[in-house]
Amino acid sequence: MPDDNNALPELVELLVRVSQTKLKDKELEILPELRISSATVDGPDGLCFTVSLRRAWLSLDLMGLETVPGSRLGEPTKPNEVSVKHKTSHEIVTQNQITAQAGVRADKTSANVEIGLGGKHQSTGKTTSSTTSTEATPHIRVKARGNLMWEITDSPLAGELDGTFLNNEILCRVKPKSGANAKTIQLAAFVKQRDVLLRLLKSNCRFPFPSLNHEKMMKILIAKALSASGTKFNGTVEFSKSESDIED
Amino acid sequence: MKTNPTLDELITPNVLELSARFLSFENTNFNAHVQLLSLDPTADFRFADLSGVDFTNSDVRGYDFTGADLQGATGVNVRWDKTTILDQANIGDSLFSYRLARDRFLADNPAIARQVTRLKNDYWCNTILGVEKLLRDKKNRHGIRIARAVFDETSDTVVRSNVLLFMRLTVDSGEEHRQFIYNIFASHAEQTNVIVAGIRALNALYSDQKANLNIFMAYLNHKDALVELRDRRDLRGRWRAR
Repeated sequence: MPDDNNALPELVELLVRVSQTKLKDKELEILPELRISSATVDGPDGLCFTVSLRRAWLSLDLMGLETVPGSRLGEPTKPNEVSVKHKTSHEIVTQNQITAQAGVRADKTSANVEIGLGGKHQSTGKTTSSTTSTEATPHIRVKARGNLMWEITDSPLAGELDGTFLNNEILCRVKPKSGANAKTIQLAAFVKQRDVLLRLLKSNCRFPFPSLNHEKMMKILIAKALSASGTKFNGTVEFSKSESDIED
Repeated sequence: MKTNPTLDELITPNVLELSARFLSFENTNFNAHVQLLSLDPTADFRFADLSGVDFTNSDVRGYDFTGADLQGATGVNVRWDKTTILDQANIGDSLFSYRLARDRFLADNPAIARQVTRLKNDYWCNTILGVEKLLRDKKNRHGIRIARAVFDETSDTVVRSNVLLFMRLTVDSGEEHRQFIYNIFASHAEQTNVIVAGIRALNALYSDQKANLNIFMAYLNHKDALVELRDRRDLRGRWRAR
């Protein structure tokens, strides 16, 4: 039975279930649920702000297990073939050229260097070579990354994360390593503090920070408060951790 | 039964009270903010969003900016050195980018590093002419890098002002040149002639850059009337253009 620990489920909720695959006997499927939304905090003197996230990460730690090749969700696989158009053209361009002249006087106290500027018209032949590559890439919200990590982002238009990003989908399949005694699956959701977004509100109206420096420092203060992990803050906030011990 | 903490429980009344106090704190100095919020320079800035932050009159030696977004972060009179950790940080178009790239380049090219030292130690007018010759030599693809390194290594204001002027004539990469100028403001804030040349270059070539505003604002009340005058004129021109 997985042990799910969510420090702040209002903002990030991660629930993990591990089940036996139907296809192969000893293979297991990791089935997480991941919900991310924004949250509002009220403070003294009408101070109110909204905290949301721009990007989150899932990190998988395995003990006595290894991933099944090709089973990771959201693999941003590049197609082996891509069409590239190459276009070469020749054109004559007329351009202005700035020339500079300099001379140094020996007396350091009176002047430094004399600089003269002059204009010149020039016609030159120019070969322009351009290569265009057309490739439409869909946005992958849960993208597999190296070191058993997944990067969670929304489309560039959305900006902040809001919604259910995983709903019992197979994150990856794992199989036991030969001779392993203890088998554990640990999945954590964390955020780098630069991806924490802060909107300052007062009486339900957004108002600006006194300066850009104030805004950036407030974000650090809030991210540090959110981490509240007991250990020293290191710029990341771990919101959730789920651990499952696998029995034979 | 729900036992999970809520956001209100994690962000304690103490944090909220500090936030309210901080928002009414008028000082915008980075170090003053760190002190007021009791932030830890060795840990709290890792992976932080510091894009566009103004580091004017700040000392960030010993700060750990690992993985931080420092894009467009500028400032005047900024103290930083090898103890400032910038691993995996996004330092594009910031005051940090130029110096890091220069150190890497000189370490990889010891012959060029020796040439820089030779030019730096030469008689001042020979240094200027030597740099000018390098910049004119289209075949020497490292001319601009050598000129910049001489600018940094020399302590002669006359040499610096003139090298900067020559560079304006040969620059072809806006971003690289801008980063170099940002580094000037951060490292040579006390040298009026160089600062004036920098402000002039920024306004003439890169007036549409947001990051310039921190620089112009920092010099509005500069003790040297020459800098202030130039700055006010440039700032007016900048806003008129918008």
